[in-house]
Amino acid sequence: MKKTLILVIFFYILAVLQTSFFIQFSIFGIAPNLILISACLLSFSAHKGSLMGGKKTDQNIGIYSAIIGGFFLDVFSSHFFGASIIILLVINIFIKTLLGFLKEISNRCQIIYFIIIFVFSLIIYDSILSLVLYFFNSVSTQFNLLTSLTKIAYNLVFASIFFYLLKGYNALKKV
Amino acid sequence: MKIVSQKRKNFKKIAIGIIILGATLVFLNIFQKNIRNTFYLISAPIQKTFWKIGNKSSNLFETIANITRLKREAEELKNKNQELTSQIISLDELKKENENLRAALGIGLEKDFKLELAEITANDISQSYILINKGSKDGLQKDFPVITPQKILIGKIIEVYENYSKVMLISDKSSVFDAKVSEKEIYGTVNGRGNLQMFFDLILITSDINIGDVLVTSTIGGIFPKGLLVGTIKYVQKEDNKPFKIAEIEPFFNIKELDDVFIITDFLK
Repeated sequence: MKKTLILVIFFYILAVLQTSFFIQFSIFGIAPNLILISACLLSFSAHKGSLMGGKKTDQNIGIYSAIIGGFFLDVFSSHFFGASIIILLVINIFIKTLLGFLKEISNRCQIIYFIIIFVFSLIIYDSILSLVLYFFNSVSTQFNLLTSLTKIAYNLVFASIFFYLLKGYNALKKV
Repeated sequence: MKIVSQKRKNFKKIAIGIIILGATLVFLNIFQKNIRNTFYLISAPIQKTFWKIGNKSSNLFETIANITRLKREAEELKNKNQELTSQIISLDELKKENENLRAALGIGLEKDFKLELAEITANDISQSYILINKGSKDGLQKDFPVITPQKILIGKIIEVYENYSKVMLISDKSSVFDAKVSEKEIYGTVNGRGNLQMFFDLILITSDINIGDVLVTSTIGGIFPKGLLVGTIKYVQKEDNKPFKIAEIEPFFNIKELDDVFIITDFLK
């Protein structure tokens, strides 16, 4: 219960920051999606042998993050309620399945694994959201390589920062 | 046997989870207006503060990064200022003359728009929507045009809550409206491309459209009042096998620099 409450507050703050502060630092009209980054990171960290050490109590943190983070993304977006929740849940399943093939992630490789997984998650998120917008809001999306690469690069900067912040926090907790 | 019962239990758990999630989503969508309005109401003061902090910080970063360019621009603006001052003087004289002529002919001045001032409180992650702090209780309605104090078109209201309204920017992918090149009889449609990008489409191949031409709204579509500033032509794309040209637009509005906007409340389609 306490952890869920912390997640709610955490994602709410991220949503507010994302829609009012970080939007001012957009590059080519692209702003970082902090909620997606955090939801991916928490799903990744819940895996056995990764950042959190995969404690039994942390196993569902990815699902909770997807639901709570998705809810706040939906609140501050224009599409119907549930679109972001479902996309983040799909991403959570994707990360869990992918990490299921790996027994243990060595400490040095964690950031590389996370970056690869995050890039794929971002592509999944954008693809499904484009489909949702196409079918429900009649908005067609034109693919632009430069925009897509900028989006990936810009989000990766924040994803890396968040990764090391969580890693540092876990190291401190251990001490 | 144990594994089978464990699997059944897991299946039951997942099925119950999906049903609860589905029911919650249905509930959220039924009451989405109230839920969103409540969240906007709670978040608005925090968002406004962060918006202002972000605005100042990004301006500072931009200033540091553009000092050389700014120096050159300042010099250019100084020269332009002198030019404009002399133009203002001559325009003042023309204005007086115009007023006198109107009075003489008995023509009343064109009715100004009825405007409602609002503040921007947040921006959507896709950079296609902004949230303003006026809603249905202030008399706002769907499709009302939103402009800057400089008469630059920003977008139109697409959703109205009690205390807030969501404005779709003209750069949104679903935004389409008619426009024309100022002082030329070149018409076309402005289509949003997302990420604050727009293009001017359906321009006749024979049209003499140039980089730097100013686009204003036209009356054809009836979506926006005529004469609102849209942007300048950035790049013209011409393909020989097509009957129309497409041009990229540099929007006049800069979402990062916007604080206050005006809503035109008396524009009827």
